[in-house]
Amino acid sequence: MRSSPFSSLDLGHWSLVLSVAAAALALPATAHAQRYLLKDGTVLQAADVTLGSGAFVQQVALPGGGSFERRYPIGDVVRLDFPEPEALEEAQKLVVAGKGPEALALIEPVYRQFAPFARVQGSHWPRAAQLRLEALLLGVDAVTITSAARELMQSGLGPEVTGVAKLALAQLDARGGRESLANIMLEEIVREAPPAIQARAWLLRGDLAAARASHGEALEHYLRIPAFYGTIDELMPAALLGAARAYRGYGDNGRAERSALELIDTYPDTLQAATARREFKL
Amino acid sequence: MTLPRRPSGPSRRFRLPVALVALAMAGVSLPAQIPQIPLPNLLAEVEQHLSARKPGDAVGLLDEVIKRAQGGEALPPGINLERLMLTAANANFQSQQYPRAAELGEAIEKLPSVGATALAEARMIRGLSLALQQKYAEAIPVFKAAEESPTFRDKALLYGAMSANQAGQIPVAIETYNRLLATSTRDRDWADAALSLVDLHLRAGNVPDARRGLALLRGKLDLVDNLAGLNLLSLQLGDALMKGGDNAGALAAFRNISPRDVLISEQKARIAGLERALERFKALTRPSATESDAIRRLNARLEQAKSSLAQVEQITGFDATLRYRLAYTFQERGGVWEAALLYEDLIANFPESTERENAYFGLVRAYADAGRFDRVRDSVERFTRAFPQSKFGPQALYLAALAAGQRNDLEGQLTFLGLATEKYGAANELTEAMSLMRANALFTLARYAEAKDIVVNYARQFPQGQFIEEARYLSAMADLAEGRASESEKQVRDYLRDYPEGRFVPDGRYRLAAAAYAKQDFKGCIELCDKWLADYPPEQPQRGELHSLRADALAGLGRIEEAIVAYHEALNLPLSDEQLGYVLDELTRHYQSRREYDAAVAMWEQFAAERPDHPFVINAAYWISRIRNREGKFDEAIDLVSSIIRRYVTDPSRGDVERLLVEIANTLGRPPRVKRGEPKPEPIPEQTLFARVDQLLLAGEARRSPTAQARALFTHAEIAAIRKNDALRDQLLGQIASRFAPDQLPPGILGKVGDTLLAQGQPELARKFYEEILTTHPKAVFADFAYVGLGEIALLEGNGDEALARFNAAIDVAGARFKLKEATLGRARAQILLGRMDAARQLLEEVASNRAWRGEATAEALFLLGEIALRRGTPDDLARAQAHYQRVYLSYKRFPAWVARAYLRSAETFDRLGQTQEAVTTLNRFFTFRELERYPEWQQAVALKPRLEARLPAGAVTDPDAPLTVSLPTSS
Repeated sequence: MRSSPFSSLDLGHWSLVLSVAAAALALPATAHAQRYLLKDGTVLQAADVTLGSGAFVQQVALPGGGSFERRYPIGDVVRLDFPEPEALEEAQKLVVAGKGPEALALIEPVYRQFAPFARVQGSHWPRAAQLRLEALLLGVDAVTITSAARELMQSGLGPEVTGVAKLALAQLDARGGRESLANIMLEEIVREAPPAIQARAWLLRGDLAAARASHGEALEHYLRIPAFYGTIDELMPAALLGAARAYRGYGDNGRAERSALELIDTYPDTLQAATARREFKL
Repeated sequence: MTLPRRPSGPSRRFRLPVALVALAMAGVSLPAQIPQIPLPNLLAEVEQHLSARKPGDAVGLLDEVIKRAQGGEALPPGINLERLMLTAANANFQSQQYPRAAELGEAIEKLPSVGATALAEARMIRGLSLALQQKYAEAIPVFKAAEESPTFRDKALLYGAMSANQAGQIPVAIETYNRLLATSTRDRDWADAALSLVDLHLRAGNVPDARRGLALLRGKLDLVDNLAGLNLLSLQLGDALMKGGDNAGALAAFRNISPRDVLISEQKARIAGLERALERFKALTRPSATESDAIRRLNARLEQAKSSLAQVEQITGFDATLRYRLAYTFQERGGVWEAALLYEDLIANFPESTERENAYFGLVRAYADAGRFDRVRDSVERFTRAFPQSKFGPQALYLAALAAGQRNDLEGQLTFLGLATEKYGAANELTEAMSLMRANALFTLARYAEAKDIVVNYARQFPQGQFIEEARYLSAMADLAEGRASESEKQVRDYLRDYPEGRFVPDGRYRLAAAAYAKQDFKGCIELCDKWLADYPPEQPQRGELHSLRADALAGLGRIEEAIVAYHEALNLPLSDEQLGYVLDELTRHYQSRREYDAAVAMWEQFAAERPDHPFVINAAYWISRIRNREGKFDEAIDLVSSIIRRYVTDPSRGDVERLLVEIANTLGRPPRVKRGEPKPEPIPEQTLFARVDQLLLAGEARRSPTAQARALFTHAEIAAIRKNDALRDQLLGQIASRFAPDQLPPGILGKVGDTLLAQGQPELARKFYEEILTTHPKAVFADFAYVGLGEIALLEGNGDEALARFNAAIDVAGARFKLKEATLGRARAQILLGRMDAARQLLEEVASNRAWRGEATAEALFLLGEIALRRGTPDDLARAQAHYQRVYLSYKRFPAWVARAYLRSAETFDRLGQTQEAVTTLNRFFTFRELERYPEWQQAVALKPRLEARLPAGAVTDPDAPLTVSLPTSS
């Protein structure tokens, strides 16, 4: 464990050197095309086709004038080669800032654009759909949230996406005061979901315990985030704020303040830091 | 970078002159000497070899061309020597003829005039050729020189750094990487270089720089293909930081490491991505030079990533190791809850881990440091089951006991010490320390006899033990506390004889002086004090205590003026809060007895001015107010008290402000004094007083403070209470409950509001206010309000155990400063609920016999004593029950609820004794009190009466005024 992970790698670097004198060194910047790759190897530039009913339509010009339509079934698309839409990055920031409607306005077009290719490699639909669900969760429309969650669960996009959907349903149960139902779902998530989703489930468990004024239990849930999921930075502010409140409820004001200070120092621009400043008068 | 081109087809530069070709084709013979192949022909052949990617075949021809050109032969137009030599250097390099390539590179550099581009290319070829001959040290300055070229700068820096690394010149390598990373584009090459730099920093022991580098990379994870390498470096960095005692830094490093499965999965995904990219390039039939380079780079990166992944996969117990490191560093920087979670996980999920025993030890410590002593007990049990012979077992329990002691949980401390003896026997390396700790805990719990036994045993067992001095002194103090003053004095004297330089000598001498005072040998006490004060320096911490004792002795001799001076000397020295309070109170008492009110007030005013933030400032205000009120200087008292209140009125944590609010309410709410010869003045209307309160308390910013507003309302409620307007009082307290969140209220108000809500039948709402006291102000003097209130709620819920624990805590934890009566009565009620009648009876008798508590508590206690006796049901007990009920309705008519119950029970008891006539008479007497009609017992009595009358002999008369006596069977 103490040996350098690079001691054996230098040869690799030097083998790289061999090419230097013979070739140009800089990799060209990858210009992202927007294209569809079909199972027969055909590459369709997005700009050259329109999406029709179940198929792409390409206008092919004839040498002597005139044109004809060539159709490519959507089911033949095996990969999308599209850059990630900037709207998703922006929407993510808005979701973190608690601005649900603004985030939704950015997400919806992307969500619809990629919906026909939900499960195709390179599709941005899974991320858009998850962000959409997160943005919806900032509101109170339980029916739409449930529908969005079910859609993700049925998408067959893997445990992470299913986990996000289950978590949303657990959140709805928790909001509706159905804690035991929420707990059943959360139990499944912490057993089966990928770590990032597990961490969010622990956060929700912390919130549920805190609402019951079970401060010790809440602490054990919130503090799982820094203890076991230290690489998931985006959940840390909520975990630290929850822990600070739970410490205070537990009667450990010293640790409560320390947790609040860690939140304010490490994540100064978050909503949670602002809340901590106000609540703990820091 | 523009490198020498390898022409792929006929090149204009190397095209042979047409005349020469024609000559050759016509078979014209050359001059008689051995003919030389013309340079253009040679160059054409060179071009053919290079085009055929056979640079090795071209190098000899190129050497010949160069030689002839250097010999003065003219080169074809468009070709110069510089270009020729560069092509030769390149061809030699490609055919791995590194010495010759380096030689040519150097020769180009020495040409009298050489273009900047060619010079840079020559340097790169030379540097690389040297490096590939492992002449790293020689390559370094060559790359350094190549940095001058803007085209080659980044590559020269990269290879320069790599050469320096290989040459063992780590500082040079680091410096070069730093210059590269400072300006290069943030791409995957940058990430590779940054990882190498972090590695170098770690190897060079530059931990802070390594830390910064890793943090930078963490922010650009999408560029890092070698995630496994990054995680391994984080692990190494964490270890280095931990070794250097920087646990916070180590924790930050460890927290960035992914669990093994996640890491392997992510690394494999990135490797697959690299492989896919490689496949795409390889599919190209004729990759361009750029694409060929990209392929080589991808291969190298792939190799790195695979190697690091293999390293991760080879580390056994990666996750357990990571857990332990995380737990340890969390624990060392106070994150004991997180540490406990991690240790628990390690113990549960990694049964083969070598860190398990350490994890158990850490777990016990973590629970102890968090004050979670129930978990400590459980973890100790598990630890001893899993590792019965662990040398860490006693240590863990010792630390747990220490932690409990630091939290003043002395019972917990004793439990852990007991467990240590039970689990690991009396003989271990910590036995001595634990014995003394146990004795100290028992002493502090006032279990002096047990403490004494332990230290006596200790002295017997370890006559030369490391704590023998402490043991002997503790023995003396235990005797003193047990009232064996002369025995204690003897031991103190022996101690002073045997340990003239001992730790406790100053205290021992103080104790001897105190012993003299206790024996009323005031002169002896003063002598001892004077000698003590002469022998020890001014900074000796007990000096204030000695002055105080000397003052007590002077007062004992009636030398009050001197005593006052001595108390003031004590005041000028460090004193514990308890001693400070004692000295201030003694001075106040002496001043009052001498009617020197101004001196007393001046003393408190000076105290408040010198120590404005001391908790006793409230005492100062309280005393000044009382003294001024006694003098009739009400306005002066109010002004002073309100000025002190205003300092803290917005701060809910200053719970003692409520004492002053009550004082203000008392001063304002009292009836105006009647002046001789004048009619009794009308009391000032409450609303006028409330406005005055607002004016006094809600000045400036305080007007907007919820806490201050609540305090003003609380003072209104107190005035209403003084005016005996209970409805208004409850209404005002109700307003506080509805307008303010519990966390805005100080503990005293929380308690009062909680009580009001509970009395109004809103236990759930009341619970919030009580719980706020315990969570936010657990040490407040009003904490007993919370314990008693929560005890009452537990009683309402039928939870006897919890109720009893709450009432006990009101007395044992909070000291029951305000609620001793309620807590005692509550304990009795809880004991009844739990069916422990004897315990309940003792407590009720305590309540009933306490003259200071005479009132409704007495009525309830008597009634409950009746209930206990009634439940037993023997004739004697029934007679006793009857006596209790009669005492209630005869002596406590002010409490109609109890009177109604007592009448009904009395009638029922008569009935059970067979005295139906007396039972009916009792009911008739009950019915004469129409004001009791609103109680449920009234209706029950109405229903009972005809049933009783039916059993009376015909014509029997029941006179409500007839005397009632209990007829006992002869046997009793």
